[in-house]
Amino acid sequence: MADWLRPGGRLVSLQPIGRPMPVHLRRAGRAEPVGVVHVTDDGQRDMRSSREALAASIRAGMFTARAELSIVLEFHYRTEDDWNEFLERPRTGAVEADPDVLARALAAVSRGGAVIVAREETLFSACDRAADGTRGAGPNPG
Amino acid sequence: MARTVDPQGRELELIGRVADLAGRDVLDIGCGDGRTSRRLAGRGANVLGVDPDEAAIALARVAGTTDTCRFRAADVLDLVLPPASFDLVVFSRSM
Repeated sequence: MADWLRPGGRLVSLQPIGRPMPVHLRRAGRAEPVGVVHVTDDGQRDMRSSREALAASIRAGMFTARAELSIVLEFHYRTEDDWNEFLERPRTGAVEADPDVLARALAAVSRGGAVIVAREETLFSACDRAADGTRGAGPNPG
Repeated sequence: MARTVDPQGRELELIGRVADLAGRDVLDIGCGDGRTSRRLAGRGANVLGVDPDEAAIALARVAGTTDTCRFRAADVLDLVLPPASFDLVVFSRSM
């Protein structure tokens, strides 16, 4: 990846942390808790691999870390089909929710004017390509 | 598609804080349906979005391919690109 960047170029990484995603129903300016959606073991492994690959690139001197912070991204589902498509994704694990509460939330979405919101904690990182653009040339920051 | 990712635009806001976008060549790895690629192109970047999911790339192309926003179905491990051809690489979530 570093090879594709021009000298001084920047890499921005946005990777989910893999924590359970809180889910709520949002309507009329109010948020009602629905439950949480877990990440599958494979999903956790993929996310961990992505973070570790970036950390290894920094240790190898290919990149210099510039910024890192945790942010929360929202996913909005406005139809039951969209919600089901989310549940079928490979990284989506078990849904921990009262079935009646979830059914009422989906019914509210179907009627319109409501949205199911899942919140995902994400690690935002920015790194610069090492100045000389070579691998293994930089110090090990830690 | 009614599913909306990051409706507050936090991703783009943060990327814009750490990188100039206007006129820059940007590689968006894991672009999915091209949502972020299109937003980056809207800020003046020349974007190549790449994702291994061919169905997602098909959606991205339907949503809009332009001279400054193109898409390619490919696994990043198999991706062949000229060296030193981008100012910014965005390696984003693909869930």
